[in-house]
Amino acid sequence: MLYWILIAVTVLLSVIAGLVFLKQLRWGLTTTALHDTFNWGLYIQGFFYLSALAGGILVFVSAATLFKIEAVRSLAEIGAAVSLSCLICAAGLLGADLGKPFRALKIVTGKNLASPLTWDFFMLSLCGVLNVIFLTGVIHNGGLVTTIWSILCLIAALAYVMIHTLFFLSRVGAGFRSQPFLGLDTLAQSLWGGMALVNLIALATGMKESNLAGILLILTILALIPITGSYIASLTSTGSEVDRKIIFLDTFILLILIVTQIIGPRNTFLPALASVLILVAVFMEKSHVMRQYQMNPTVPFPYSQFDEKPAYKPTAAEWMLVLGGLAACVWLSSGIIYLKTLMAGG
Amino acid sequence: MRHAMVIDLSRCVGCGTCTVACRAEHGTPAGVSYNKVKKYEVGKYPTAKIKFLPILCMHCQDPACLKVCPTGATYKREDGIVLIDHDKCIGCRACVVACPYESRQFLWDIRNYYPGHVPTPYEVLKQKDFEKGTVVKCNFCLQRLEEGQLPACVVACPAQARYFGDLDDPESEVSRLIADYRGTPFREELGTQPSIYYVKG
Amino acid sequence: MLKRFIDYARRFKGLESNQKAFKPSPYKWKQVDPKEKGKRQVLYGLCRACMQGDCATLVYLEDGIIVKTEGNPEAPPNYGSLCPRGKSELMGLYNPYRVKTPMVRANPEKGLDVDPMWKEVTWDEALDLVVERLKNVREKDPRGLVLCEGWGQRDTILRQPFGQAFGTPNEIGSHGALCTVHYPSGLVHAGYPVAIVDLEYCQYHITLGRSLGPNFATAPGTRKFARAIERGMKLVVVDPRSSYEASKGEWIPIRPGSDLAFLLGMAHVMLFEVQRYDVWFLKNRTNAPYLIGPDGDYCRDQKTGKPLMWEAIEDTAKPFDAEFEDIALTGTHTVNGVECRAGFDVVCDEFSKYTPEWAEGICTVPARTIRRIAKEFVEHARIGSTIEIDGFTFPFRPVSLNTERNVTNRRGGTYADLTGKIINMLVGNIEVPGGCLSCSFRGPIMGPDEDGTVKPAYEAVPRPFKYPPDHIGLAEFYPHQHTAPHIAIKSILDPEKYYLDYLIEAYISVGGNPIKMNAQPHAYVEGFKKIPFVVSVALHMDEPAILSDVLLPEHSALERFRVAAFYPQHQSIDDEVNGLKMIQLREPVPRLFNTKHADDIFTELAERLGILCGEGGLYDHLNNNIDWVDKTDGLNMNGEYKLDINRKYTLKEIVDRQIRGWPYSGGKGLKDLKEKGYIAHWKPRKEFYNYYYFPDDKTRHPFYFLGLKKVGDELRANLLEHNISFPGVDDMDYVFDLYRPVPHWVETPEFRAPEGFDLWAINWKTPYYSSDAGNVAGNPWLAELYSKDPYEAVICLNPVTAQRKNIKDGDMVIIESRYGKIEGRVRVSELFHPDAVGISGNYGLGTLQSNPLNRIGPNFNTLLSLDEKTFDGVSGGQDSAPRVKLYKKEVRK
Repeated sequence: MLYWILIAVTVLLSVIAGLVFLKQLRWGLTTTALHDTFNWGLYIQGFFYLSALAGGILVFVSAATLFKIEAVRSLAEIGAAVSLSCLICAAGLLGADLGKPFRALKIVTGKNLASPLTWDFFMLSLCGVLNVIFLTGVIHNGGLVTTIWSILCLIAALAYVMIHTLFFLSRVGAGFRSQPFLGLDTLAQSLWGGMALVNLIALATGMKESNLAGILLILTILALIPITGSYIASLTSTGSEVDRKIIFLDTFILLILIVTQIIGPRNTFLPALASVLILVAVFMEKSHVMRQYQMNPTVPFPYSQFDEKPAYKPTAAEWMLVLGGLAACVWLSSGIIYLKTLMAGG
Repeated sequence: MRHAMVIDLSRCVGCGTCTVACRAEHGTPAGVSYNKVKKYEVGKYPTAKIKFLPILCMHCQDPACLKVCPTGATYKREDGIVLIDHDKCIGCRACVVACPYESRQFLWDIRNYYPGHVPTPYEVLKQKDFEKGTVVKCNFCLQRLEEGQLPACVVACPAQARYFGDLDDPESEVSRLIADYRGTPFREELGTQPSIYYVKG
Repeated sequence: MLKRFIDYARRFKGLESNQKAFKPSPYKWKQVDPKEKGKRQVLYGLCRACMQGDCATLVYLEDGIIVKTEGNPEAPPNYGSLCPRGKSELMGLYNPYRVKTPMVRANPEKGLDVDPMWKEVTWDEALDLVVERLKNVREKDPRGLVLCEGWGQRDTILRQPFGQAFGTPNEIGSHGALCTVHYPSGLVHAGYPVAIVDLEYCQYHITLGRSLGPNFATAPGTRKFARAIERGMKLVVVDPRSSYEASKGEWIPIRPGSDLAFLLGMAHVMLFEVQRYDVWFLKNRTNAPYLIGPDGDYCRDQKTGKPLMWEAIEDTAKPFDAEFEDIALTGTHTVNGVECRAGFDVVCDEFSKYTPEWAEGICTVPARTIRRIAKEFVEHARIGSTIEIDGFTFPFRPVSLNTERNVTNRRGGTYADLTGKIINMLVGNIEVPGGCLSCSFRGPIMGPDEDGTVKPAYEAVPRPFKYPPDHIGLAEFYPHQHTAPHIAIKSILDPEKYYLDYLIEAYISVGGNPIKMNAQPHAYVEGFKKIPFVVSVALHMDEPAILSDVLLPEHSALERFRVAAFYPQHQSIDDEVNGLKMIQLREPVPRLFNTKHADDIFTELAERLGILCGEGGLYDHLNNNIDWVDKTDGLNMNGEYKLDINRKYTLKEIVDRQIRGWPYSGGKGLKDLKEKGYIAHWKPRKEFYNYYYFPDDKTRHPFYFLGLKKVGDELRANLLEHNISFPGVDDMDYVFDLYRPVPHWVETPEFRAPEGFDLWAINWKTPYYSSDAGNVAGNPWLAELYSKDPYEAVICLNPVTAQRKNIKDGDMVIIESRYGKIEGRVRVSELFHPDAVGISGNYGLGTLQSNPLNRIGPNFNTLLSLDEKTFDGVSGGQDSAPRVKLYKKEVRK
């Protein structure tokens, strides 16, 4: 029953998002709060978020497949479905951000291999295809195909996750937190978020034997270190700041996971709570990245002395569209799983 | 042949004629400026001065915008001019984010200058060339260059602070000015190799 | 829609409430005429986006639509360049807020925010209605008509003769009361409107309260400025604000309103410390050696009545035009039994008080800086050097000090300009290459009068006294006044107090907006309400228009046919236009609305009033008028080309005759002018320097300003005879203190402001707002610039002052003078003197039906005083720097 309510609610949210998107098609991006000095906002944030989760899950799936960890085999299958829907929704959000969404396929003909977006497009597409292949069940038996699939999957997923560090490269000089932490941070957030989602699935589907709280604990530390590092780095340079709220949240998650380890792995509430918080933390981090890169005028001081500080507060329409996109992941995953069982059954 | 501009900062008085001349030449919609003048203060009272930095598309030889453009909409001509093929632009704004000079603008909307009124006949005529959802920028007044005229901002500047010419020709006015006054591009350290040089800053 | 507008003027947040009155016009633009489709056309234009209005343009049309205005690259004075206003002119044409058809008011209640309930009428109906009312006024007393002009309409040649034919003396300018800068140049140079610097040669230029061009972006001025700076001219800008120009030279911050103290201090240093002046010049080209009697008049030869000078060798006094071996510049002698002192000494006596230390106490410029500037000025003057131009040898003085409205516009302002003249005369740079030149007619205008000194011209010629006065602006009481809308409005509101024996019954506005351009806008609104019948020859729904009874819509600048004579320029001069005599053509673009050329309106009105033809008619006056500024070099009706006063002409016919009669046209006419858009004639460069016409000792500039004293004495006698004083000033000596022959320190009432009024508000023209020609504030292209400019439509404060008042950048504050109160957003900037509150341009006000852009921003003029005691009694100028207090605006939650 609860399941069907969830599906109904998410479908409703997505329908609303669809309507918002239709309105946006008519009026363009003026329905958003984006403007000349704040070019990328909630849509790109949502895109980064969902694609990061998808990437994290894919790393889990391909690792489990590569190392033939049978215990998590069914979890991996659901993971692949979730990953695929995340990718589809991420692409949808990216499309929603385009001034000319119907021209999106021009990326294929553009063939500009210097563009991160081109690589992003190809790697995401590749991941999508690999997901579909996985879901058809041909990667079941191990052997050379499985190995190649796993390796390809790892490469593609890690590649696009890392490509997402390139988009704001030109703004790094403008004072964003120092470059050494950016790559690690992006990677860690992706693995962390992906694993949290996998953990939630495991808990929700009753696959408690594969308690992943231990891995989450490790990944939490992996995520906390670079963001704390960037915070320390930001203290030494002006014009940048790291949202300390995120560090506090990350630390809080770490504490929960430590407590989980102490009181015993049988507890499900704490790992579930930690996982939800991790998903929130990753979303916040993506928002933070968007703002950090665009918080100062492009042209440096003193030339921009009288430029207004870029400000951005997403409109309700943007929130609705992004929420709809996130919600779509839920019913889309369910749909894919349903299809898969249908196919398997047939 | 490489088109280039030299801006004499000691001459610029920050009046904004270049901004309006550019607007008049291209008929850009409200809120869109290809050609801007940054005003800033240096020094403290009583020796404070106001300074000006005119910025436009720098027509970089190694343009950050071109690199990030996924569709190849942004391209560079043999003569150094960086252009946008608006039919190819998907409006992803990666170039806007990448440009270190604020030289690109996304057309969120095609706005009129008299809000609340029907567009003026001038705007109706001129705005045919603009497509909402794409990115626009200075084209070095290519349409004028093709007719043998200098860019609109160069002609209009009342302080005669702008010079236009061929950077490949060491005898051209721009080359000589750059050599004589050690002209440098803005944010040269970024390595984008702009075609706009500043002298006497 | 409205939200979008606010969006791009986002920084004016907090003023949105003003926008409620904004109603979009239902007007739809005319469709493109299919016949025009695909056609391209270029017209010769003549810019009218500022008071100067002499930039040659090319106007491009496509499909019958104006697509751009560009400088005409061939033509002086701008040679292709233009300014932001000129470049924006087409948006002033395509302006939905224009008055598009004749209209008559239906609502008797008047106010800036009261809907007049306009009723559209035909031109015939409108004109008949106006003529019927004007006829009554004229029959009763023609003085009852006020004809108010301004920068919005400088393209009419028939307005003035219309007023003359009607018989009213009350043609007033709407704008000049904050630009009373003319008298001293008329007195010393016999020139008009101001004295400027010769940027061709000048090496050291001191400028106060004015612009050389860049500050408000006049294209020709900026061209010359950039070249002069490039060739290394040293520029010293004495200003409370580090302006664009100050930033290209040396900025000397000064306390607002205290320039007179600085100038007196500088003159003191030159007279008593540097003591190197152009003695030859002072002896031979000024009245400095004239002997002054105890009564302050010249000591005169008993036989001839001529002023006397002392012959040092013979030790005797001789008439100034006698043979002198050595003229004594100084000394006290007894002549005809009275003790006389050389004028130079009299000036020195007065100036001995004004040490730089004294000046520093008032103007805050350090004494050592005043000393250094004075010394550098003299050093750069190259006293004794000469230059040959076209075979004629001139004294060469590559220095100049020039002052303008922000120096002269206050009590004592005339003295400040005159002190500047003394400083210039001390180095002998008047009307010589490199020096200080008037910018009017070039020719033999500096001829001597019977006393041997330059015969005063233009506004230095006093208007005759009459009681009761004829002139609504009281020219009889302020005989050297510039335009006086501020006095006019007071006499309209209180005719008895202003001794008027008639009432103002009708008012025609022609491009003038006294409400916006002067102190206390709301006083003018009251004045307008009081006038029974107001007509506006209207461009857009500005303040006078919405208070009018009838609107006669006129063409916008681009639609106006115009041929104008090129005036020497107001900001500076160099060889780019030196010696240029030119007439320029504007070919009109197709008109958009049911509008008329202002001159066609005057023709129609005059014809219907029966004052077009015949003796004393409009044509008769036009035939006899001579161009005010450019005299015979202007466009006049000359010789055989005078009009037949008994038939009607089209405007083009009249202009064609003007061109044919122009001394440099070679008989060419309008048709020939269309070839290039202009006819230029270059005079030899030597003829540009007025020294040429009266070299050596052929004329003498007043150094001791007897002319001022004489006019004052005469005026005093007249007032005493009628037992009256100046309206609004009980003690007439308060005004006559400003008519002394030697400048002296006078305090403006602002120096005595009560405690709490610790700052001074200052104002300046900007590239987007120089003069209100064609509603620049409402031009959205300019609005986009000024809404993003850090210093426009905000309240500028020095950081120290801001900190003292606990105010941060971006705070909303209230500025309160003793006369008015405004509010605005603070910009903290190092570019301002700590005593100054900087408010640029002339924003704010506007009407219910005007472009809402006109309603945005602080209205500086509201802070100014309409009290006679704050005026300069000589020029009638209003004080442009009132004392103010400033405090944070309480934000209501």
